[in-house]
Amino acid sequence: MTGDTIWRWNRTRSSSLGLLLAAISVAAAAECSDRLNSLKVALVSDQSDWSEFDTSGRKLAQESGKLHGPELSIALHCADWDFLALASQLDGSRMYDGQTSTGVTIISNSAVRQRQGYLQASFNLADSWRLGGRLSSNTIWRELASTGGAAGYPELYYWTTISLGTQWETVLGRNRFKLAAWFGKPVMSTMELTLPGRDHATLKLGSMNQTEFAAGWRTPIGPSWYLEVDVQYRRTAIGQGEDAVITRGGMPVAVAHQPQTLLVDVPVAVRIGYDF
Amino acid sequence: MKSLAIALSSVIMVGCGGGGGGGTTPPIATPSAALNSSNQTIAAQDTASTGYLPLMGAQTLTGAQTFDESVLFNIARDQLNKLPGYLADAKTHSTLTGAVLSQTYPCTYGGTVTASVSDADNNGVVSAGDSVTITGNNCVEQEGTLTGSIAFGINNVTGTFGSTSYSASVAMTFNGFNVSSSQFSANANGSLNLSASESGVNNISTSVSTSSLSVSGTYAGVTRSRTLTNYTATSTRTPNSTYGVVTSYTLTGTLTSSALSSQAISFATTTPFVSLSSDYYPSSGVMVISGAANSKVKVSALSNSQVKLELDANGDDVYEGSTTLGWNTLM
Repeated sequence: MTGDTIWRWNRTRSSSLGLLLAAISVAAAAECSDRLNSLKVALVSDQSDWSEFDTSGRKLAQESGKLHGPELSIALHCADWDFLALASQLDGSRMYDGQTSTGVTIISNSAVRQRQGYLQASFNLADSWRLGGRLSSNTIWRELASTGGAAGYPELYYWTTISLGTQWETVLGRNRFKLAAWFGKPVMSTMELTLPGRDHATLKLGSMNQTEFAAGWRTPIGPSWYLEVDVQYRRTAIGQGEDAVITRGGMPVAVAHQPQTLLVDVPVAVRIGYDF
Repeated sequence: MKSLAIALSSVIMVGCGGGGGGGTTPPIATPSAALNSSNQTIAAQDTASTGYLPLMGAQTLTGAQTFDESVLFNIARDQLNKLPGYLADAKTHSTLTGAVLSQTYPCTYGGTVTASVSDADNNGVVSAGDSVTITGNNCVEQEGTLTGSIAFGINNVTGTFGSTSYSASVAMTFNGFNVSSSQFSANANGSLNLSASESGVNNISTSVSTSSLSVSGTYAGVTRSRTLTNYTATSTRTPNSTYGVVTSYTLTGTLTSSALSSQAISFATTTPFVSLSSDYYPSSGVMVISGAANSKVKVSALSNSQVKLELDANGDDVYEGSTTLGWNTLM
């Protein structure tokens, strides 16, 4: 990671930490007779697919690869309410099958770091059904590697979304099984990039929709301890962004926009949890 | 055609530094820019990026989509690749040798281009004496709206145009050729002479030259303009037992740029720039940029990632300062 991007990562980390602290504060402040706290640690393996399209829908680039990393979450159950704060960082690379700016097809790869943090609250509607809201902070650092005749460059995406979701849960013996669906819209979204020989630039992303489906299974493995396995399908569709002027030494030399982008993540998380 | 486009794309590296051959820098037009510590990087950047332009532009991977004046040459290259199709179409619609046949083709997002074809020997293939003029009629493509025209004149062709074994020479003329969108417009006027010979995919020699070619771009209301005069760039790609392929580049010419207060600098490679394998940047080679009062900036490739700039501001032929940069800060 370049020095130029470190402060932005720090800013993102601070934002994620803020979400986490907010969740902990909510949990700590709550008072109820059936209060149950839970701390979870997970390893996540994510199948990540990234596609870009021009305005006619023609595919410009396709990336596919695995991201791995840790996830930490804290949950609080209090009467009809559940609160959850989660933070994760996934690293890896994706194979890039795309084209150069002059339309020549080319194979390369991109290094990816994906951070997500969210604060979630859900309310018990009926025995098995919950309705909830979620505030998410997402950051994706993507560095396209230079390859035969074409220069790569780093990009940093950042977006905050508000999502609504529902969850269905049932008990099967000592195990619990749940299904969930979430639909999100962005509160803000930007992209930062540094093209070769150009000044650092900030671009606006286009309209965004995020859909997530999840299935989870939980089983006890000891007093207060449990194992949880989650599989998600998360689809993030981003419309073509606005043109932004690119400068060199402060002088305008080009325009750029982020094309229509589709990100599909299928993370599998294996968690160890402790109730207290 | 294919080798013309590929070879010309390769020649672009000359812009970074360029090429061989040379040794002496050509006389510069007046007024000339004095090179100093405050403008040496700008001079090197502008020379590199402008040297690229006629060679179809520097390439980046598509993440964000970027548009600048290089779209003019990307479109020209596309049209160059379509010449065999235009000639074949003309053959099916005309039997009059020497007649000019105009056909209209739809553009992706609206508007049309008109291809006016003169097939000198009415053989329906690209051959000496043929000419094709492409005119944009508010033709809307991904890059923007095309207006103006590009004329291609075929000077000679040996072998089959577009195959892996042929040679060709094409004169290309931009007449108010313009691409515009809501955020930018780019315009080219002038001519380019392109020649290429290919005998196998890794045996390609290319030359691009112009007596005068002007390119301008307007971004958010700010215009930059650059003119190349007496410009010649060459590229030679040869097989290599160690690297698979080695490509050497030479470059010479004079650049007048708005980034240098519309003053001129000249440039010439004193040692050809050489790229190994499919490296994006050259690993070796030297180019000298000359300005007023014998001031000079020497651009030396240190590796395929780093380049050294040396400055002789007072023109005493002694480089009194140097700085090392990443190639990606120049182009």
